[in-house]
Amino acid sequence: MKWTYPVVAFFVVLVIGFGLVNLIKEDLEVAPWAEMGAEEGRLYAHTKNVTRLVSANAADLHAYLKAAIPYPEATTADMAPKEDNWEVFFRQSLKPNPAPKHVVLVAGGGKEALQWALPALYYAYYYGSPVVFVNRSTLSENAARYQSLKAYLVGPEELLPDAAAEGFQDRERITANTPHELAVELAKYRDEQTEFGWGRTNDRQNGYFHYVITTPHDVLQGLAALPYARSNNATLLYAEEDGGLPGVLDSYVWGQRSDWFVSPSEGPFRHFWLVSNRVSYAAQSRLDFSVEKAEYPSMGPIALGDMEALLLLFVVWGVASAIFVWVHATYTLPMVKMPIKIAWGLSSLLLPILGPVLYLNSYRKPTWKTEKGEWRWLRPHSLQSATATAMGFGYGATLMVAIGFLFVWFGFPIFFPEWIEGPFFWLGAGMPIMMIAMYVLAVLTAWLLAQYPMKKAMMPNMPDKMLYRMALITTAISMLAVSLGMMTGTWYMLMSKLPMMPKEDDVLWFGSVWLASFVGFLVAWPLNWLMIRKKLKPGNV
Amino acid sequence: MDIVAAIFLFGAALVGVFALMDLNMKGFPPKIVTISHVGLAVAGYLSLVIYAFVTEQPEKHYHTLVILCIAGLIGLWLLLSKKPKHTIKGVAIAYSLVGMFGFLWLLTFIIT
Repeated sequence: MKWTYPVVAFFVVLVIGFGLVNLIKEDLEVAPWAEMGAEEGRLYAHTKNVTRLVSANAADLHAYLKAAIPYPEATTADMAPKEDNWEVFFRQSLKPNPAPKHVVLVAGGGKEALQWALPALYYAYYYGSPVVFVNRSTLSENAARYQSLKAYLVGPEELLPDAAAEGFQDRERITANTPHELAVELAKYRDEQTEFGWGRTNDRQNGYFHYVITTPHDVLQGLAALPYARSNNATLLYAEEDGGLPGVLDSYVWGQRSDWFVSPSEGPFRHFWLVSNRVSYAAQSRLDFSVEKAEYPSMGPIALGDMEALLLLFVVWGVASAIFVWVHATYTLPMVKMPIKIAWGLSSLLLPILGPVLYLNSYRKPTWKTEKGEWRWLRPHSLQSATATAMGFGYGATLMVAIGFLFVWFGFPIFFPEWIEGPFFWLGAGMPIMMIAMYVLAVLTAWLLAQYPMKKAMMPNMPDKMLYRMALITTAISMLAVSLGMMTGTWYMLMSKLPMMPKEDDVLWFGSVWLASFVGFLVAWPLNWLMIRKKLKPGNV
Repeated sequence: MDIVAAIFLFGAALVGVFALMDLNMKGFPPKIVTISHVGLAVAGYLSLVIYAFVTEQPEKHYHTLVILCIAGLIGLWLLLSKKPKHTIKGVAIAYSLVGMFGFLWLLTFIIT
């Protein structure tokens, strides 16, 4: 019967290992850098977080928004913005704040100046900031009126020299290497005292943020979409000319992903308005996906939630613990029987850290040899109980996890015949059926393939019938204790703690059952203390 | 053909578990176990290579071939090495981990 233990271990490693490798594969496929999987899939679906405004040019978009956003606060100049009139267009569109606390200095002139200035113009339009245009060191005529305010120079020094801000009460330059970076910089920047900057950093806990996205080439379309800065509090951001997302923008938008606790209908939400036809559909899909809300524990399929991260560490430590125990036993304990080594290895898989600690403690004790030449370890009662628990838990709990995984993989069965209606209808629901099946199948497998052969090897003179019965009783009781902790823990995690039932490729499924198994061990440990006392199980092997 | 490869590799993995147990307990596995494992693993690998050549599916299992190739190189070292037993034991565990990962990686493409 020596073949049974490796077969059980192989089955467990095969099923749980398959689940974990599948988890890695699924997560790799949707990883942001993989350039495959998730975003392509979403391309064919709606992009609910992104609206694309298709227009022939800036004049077309300007005319459309005049009708689409009819609010007086968000009206812009009647003329369409062009390369030669954009300063006038902005001045006529701006609704000045009667008591501004800052003044914005931007470069005036050609299209390049507009590319650097537009992110600041969006904030100025939203707040009503006075804007001073600087054309070759010449300031627009309104500059003198705002000398008592702090001046923000937005853009590079080549276009906007420091000298332009002389005479203002205070000054600060906000610039970057490219307009794309400057736009993100401005989206994050906030000075509470002067009330300048959007302050949309990734650690903001609130805010229904909107963003208008264009490319520097289509900067006039961005200017035509200025009403959004007021009607939707939209910040301007730049995509690449080839339609992709620059790294700085990509990083920023993923940081804007928010989450929900109870229901996806909770805010806040983010939204993008694409006004340049150059922005590709792949980039649109990626933007949409980047801010798709997800439940707090998992942060959705492409991010890692706090609870996921913790539970993932738990599972990884479990795998590492099992490998450690197996390697250690291979090198240092040739006198320990194989079924016991397998049981310790499998137990450690579900008992990160605790497994190796108990294992090392169990075998760092004085030894003696029985008359038959078998090794025994002199252990305190509690450690004997831990060993006895590990012998059942290693096979039983891992089998339960493996069987549970198969159920989740193939789908929960439900069983609702007429006769079950009444107070016991819940027995036909998926979760109770899975739990009952996990217990029954795991007990049967562990009893016949692990516990009976183990007892037979230890007590060869006992009649077979009695051995079968004894093995069944101890396995069933021990596993019942494990189940008490494990099933309660699983129920709590899957049905109560997590807002959505995790699937077979979720970290949370594995993490939950791992954690529940740990609890199961702690519940079964005291019971095995009693079994050791009654001499129903050996604790010194 | 990739299913055939998976079946061969399943057999190799199952036999490999017994070889690992032998290494853990008493010493080197019996020759018949080693030969069976090597035979099944080579058959599985070749089936996968043939599949990659003949299939018109986009997934040709290149990743799996690379992972199993690494496992195969470690396995070859195990077969030919004259190192002491304690070195063999450690390398055998590493070999089993890489090989099992490769097999499970293949399964995730075939079953899902």
